[in-house]
Amino acid sequence: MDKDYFVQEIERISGMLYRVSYAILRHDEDCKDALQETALKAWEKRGSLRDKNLFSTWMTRILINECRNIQRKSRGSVSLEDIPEPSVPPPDPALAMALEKIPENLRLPLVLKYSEGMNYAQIAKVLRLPLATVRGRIYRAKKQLRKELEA
Amino acid sequence: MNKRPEPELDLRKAFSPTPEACYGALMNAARSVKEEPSVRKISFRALVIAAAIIIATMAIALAAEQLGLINLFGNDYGLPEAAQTVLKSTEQKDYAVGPLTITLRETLADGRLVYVTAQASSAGGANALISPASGDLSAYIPKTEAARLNLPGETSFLEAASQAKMPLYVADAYFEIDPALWAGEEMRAEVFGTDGSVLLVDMLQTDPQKVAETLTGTLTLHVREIDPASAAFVPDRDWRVEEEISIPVGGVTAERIYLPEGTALLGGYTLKSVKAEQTDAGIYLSASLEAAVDTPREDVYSLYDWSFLDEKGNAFPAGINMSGSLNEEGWPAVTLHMMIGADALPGAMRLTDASAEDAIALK
Repeated sequence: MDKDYFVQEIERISGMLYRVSYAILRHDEDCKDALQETALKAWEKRGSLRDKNLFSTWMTRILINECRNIQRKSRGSVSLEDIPEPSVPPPDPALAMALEKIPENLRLPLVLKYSEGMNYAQIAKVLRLPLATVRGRIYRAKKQLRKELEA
Repeated sequence: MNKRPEPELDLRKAFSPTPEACYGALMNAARSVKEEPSVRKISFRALVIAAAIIIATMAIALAAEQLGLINLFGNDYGLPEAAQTVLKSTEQKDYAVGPLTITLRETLADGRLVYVTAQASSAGGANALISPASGDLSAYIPKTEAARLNLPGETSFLEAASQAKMPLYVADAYFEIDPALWAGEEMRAEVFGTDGSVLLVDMLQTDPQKVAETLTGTLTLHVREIDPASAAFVPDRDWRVEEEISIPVGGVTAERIYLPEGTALLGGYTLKSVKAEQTDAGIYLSASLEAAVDTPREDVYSLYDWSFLDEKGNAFPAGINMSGSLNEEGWPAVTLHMMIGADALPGAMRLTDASAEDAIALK
């Protein structure tokens, strides 16, 4: 992989990378750190990407690991009160608020499917979870999201 | 009855557009990579330093003479007396770095971490606005700077420099060591003085197995001037001083193994033991745990919500290494590393999970 391809592909999936990092970290400053470090680490590990078609899932995996590192450093979870208001509101604030209320282990697979369009197998690979677990989590996540939206 | 078809869920509507700062950080990092195949750890390390991966902005301001780790950490992080003695004994030294004076204020190393602080001030008391390199020039200036410059609180560094008609400098101070000694984490922080000076804090985690009695590295002090109108660096207004410094390393002064008393089961894990090692900087705890068969591995990060409490159930101060870590490579065996701020090894402790309803007693 040469640098031009690397930069071009990262630009192509930059929106997806931001949304995934935000789904985990829920804080733009942390997302910024995670995205920056992900790009550096991905280049460092580029030899491990065997199939260029898998660039997006490969990057997502690295990003999720980086987000976990940042969570680890900040020791503990972010409460809803600690989440700063985004500078530009999302198109559907009610949906955003409902999504915030879902536990992260359900929220992330839901975002990968219904925001990023990944299928169950891709999500299972990215999250290193059995397919059945992914299906179960997405089912529960949708149920909880519906409940939050109706509340 | 036919079930009403559910509209397709579009979760993109739940997200704001990617903020400029996030997009910029991602793309700048991507564009900064070197084409050569040999991206070695040493060059990666340099990138990490430049990028200031972990930035903890301390939202407090102190009088210039109070700037330092003792006042910064206070009682909240449990900075031990031994650490305070070391910090107070640091030989301070002034460096002229272009229009600023940067003073090496404090050093502290215990084998696991090294702190270096430096205070950047306008030379000769000249009027200037100083921003830390790990900060953001579009961020609001601190309240103390707003008060000093008689500006509204919601004024960015760039706006403040324009409105107050004073030069804007970005100051940086960091300590580089042999990458082989580095344990992979770095924290950058800054504290503003009420006189406009800034204390720049750099903390590196080091490998206690490799660090000797003295830690030698390069202290880099860097100042650049910014044009507030264009937010660009002013050509030829870039000053850098590098000096090799050696910091004495205090090792482990006491250690102890704590064993569970009564139940050792908590939140799906069985606690085997806790090893405590005391240094000048605080107490490092390593809890050896084993996950139960039905404990999901993907939930291992919940261990970061666990806390060590004293005998009365009060949480210990967090300690000054600012992070914990997990080693899950030997799953189901997991080791949780945490620091607490205390002057001496406690006689007994408790370990509790996020619910804080159950705890394992340790003695």
